Amino acid sequence: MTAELQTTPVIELKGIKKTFRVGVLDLPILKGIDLSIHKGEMTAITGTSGGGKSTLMNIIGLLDEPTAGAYSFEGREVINLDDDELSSIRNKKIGFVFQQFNLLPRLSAAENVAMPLLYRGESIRKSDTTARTFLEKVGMGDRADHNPMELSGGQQQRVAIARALAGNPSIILADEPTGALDSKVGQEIMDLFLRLNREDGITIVMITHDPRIATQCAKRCNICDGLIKRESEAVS
Amino acid sequence: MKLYLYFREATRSLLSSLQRTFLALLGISIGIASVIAMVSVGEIVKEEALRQFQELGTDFLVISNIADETKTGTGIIPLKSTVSIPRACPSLREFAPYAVTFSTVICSGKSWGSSVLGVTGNFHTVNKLLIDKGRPLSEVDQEMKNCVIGDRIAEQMRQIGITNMIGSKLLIFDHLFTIVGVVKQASENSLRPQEINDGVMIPYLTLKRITGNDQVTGIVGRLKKNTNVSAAVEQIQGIFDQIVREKKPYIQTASELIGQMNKQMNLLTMFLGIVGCIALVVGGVGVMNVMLVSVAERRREIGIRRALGARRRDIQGQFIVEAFLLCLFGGLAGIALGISGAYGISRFQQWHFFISQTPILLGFGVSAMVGLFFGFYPAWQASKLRPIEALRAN
Ligand SMILES: Nc1ncnc2c1ncn2[C@@H]1O[C@H](COP(=O)(O)OP(=O)(O)O)[C@@H](O)[C@H]1O
Ligand SMILES: [Mg+2]
Repeated sequence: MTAELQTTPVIELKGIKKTFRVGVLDLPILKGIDLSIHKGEMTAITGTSGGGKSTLMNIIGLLDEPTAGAYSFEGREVINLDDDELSSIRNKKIGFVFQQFNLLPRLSAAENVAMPLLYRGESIRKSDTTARTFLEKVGMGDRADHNPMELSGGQQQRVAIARALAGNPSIILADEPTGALDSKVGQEIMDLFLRLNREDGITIVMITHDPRIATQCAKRCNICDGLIKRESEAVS
Repeated sequence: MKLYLYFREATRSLLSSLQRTFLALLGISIGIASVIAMVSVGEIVKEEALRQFQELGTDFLVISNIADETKTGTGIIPLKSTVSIPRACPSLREFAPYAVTFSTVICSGKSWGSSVLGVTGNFHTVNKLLIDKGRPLSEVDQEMKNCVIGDRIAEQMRQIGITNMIGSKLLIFDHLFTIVGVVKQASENSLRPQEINDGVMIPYLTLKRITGNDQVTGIVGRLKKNTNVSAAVEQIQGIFDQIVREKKPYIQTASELIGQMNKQMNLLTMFLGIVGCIALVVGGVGVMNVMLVSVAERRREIGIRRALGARRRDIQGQFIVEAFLLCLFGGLAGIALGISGAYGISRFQQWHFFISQTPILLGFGVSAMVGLFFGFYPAWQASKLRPIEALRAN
């Protein structure tokens, strides 16, 4: 508790609302979310399907804007930033892991992992070296030159995790990272996340509807009826 | 600018869907090819049309429509009254009046109807006639029965087996003439008297003595360098107004004709160029279509890139480079195709083929413009996709 008060949270959401307009109907999906994520935490967000988990994740990841509310990222207000600044934060501070892996199909594993670094302006050679280091880290060193199509789901997700890590971000956002994998492979991916959090102190927010995955996270939140409820405290 | 990145991504994407790339290339290269072929053909036709006049020289001038056709045999301008013309018009450098009549020409028992030109000694130099065999007529030949034959008579003599024409005799106006020279065929459609190729040239005074006819049919001449052509034409017109009342002589100069022709031909080239450009625009729209489809198909890819931190201009750059590459390679293929097309057409029409840098620069310039112009809109569309919408696409 004290640690939380002393440091600036990586993510701080206050009263985040999101309403989708479908035809003439206004659909309130998020109705006032308050959430703080601190450095080194591993947080699971659970909730029913269609409850707005991905919507919240997209707002946290600066891919979408809330209808109302305040959001500060590492103490910086990000609601009114322009597109270039948002892109820059996504590029340098956020690593995404998606349910469908979302690797670029025409690029090799190493080229995929190097992508955020290239958008940062790093040279192809330098980013390739970094990419290979991170592929080693997730156990995919020997598949660096393979195309995503040649890899299994679990392997693709490892590459995606390497890509999320390669830019040395402040936070990893994973939206149902095990959702497309069978439970054994899903657990392997979960173990990788846990190891990254424990050994490297990487801050992770993970969406899941699988309680077996969620219980492995020290901090758990549940979205219900557009509001968020914390189910457990982070254990320091 | 991360150009290397844009080029890499664009190349990968073009190579990954070869059919799409090929169709776009086809459209653009046919467009560029038609611009180049059309403009080249326009230029070639122009050169072709002007060559005959340029060979004659821009200072050439011809005065016609001075003979009186109603009273054949009695000239209204005798040779001696033309003598005043060069004096009154100082910009005339050379001056050769000639008379045209008609006679039967008999050779070794064969006879042909032929034009007979009575010419002065400088006639062949003013007309820039090329001598095939022998020599041209000169002032020394005046009143002598020597003649120079044109291409058609020479051909007819060849057909009856006479190969050594110099020294052969021809019966003209019942007088025996000796051939002293044969002129090469002079190009048609020029300002030269048409009768040169068809007829026989004899000294003016010989013609006058035999036929008693002294009527000048026409005058060819050359102007001095840097002459005001229209002023000279007006001067000559003025002289004729004094010596001929009944008729208005017709004065044509090569420089004016070339000017007119240039204008017409430039118009033709422009017209052909516009036709080519329409084809190019169609090709460009093809590129745009391909790019728009490509953007629509790759929304998810765009979303992923945006999530990884690509800015709008990174997305835009990648797609513009893609369109640019399409147009560059389409342009190269089009230039090759266009030049071959122009070559084929000139080969077929027996024109002198040449290619100037204008159509090539035009082709390159226009294809780059088309690439940027038609590539810009799809690229802009791609870049303005909101990241979340792009990511949600399937
Ligand atoms: N762009 C959108 N327009 C309209 N409705 C949307 C849009 N995005 C999400 N929704 C709706 O919002 C609700 C929450 O979606 P989502 O956040 O993906 O749920 P979850 O990830 O918890 O399953 C769903 O009912 C979904 O249909
Ligand atoms: Mg979801």
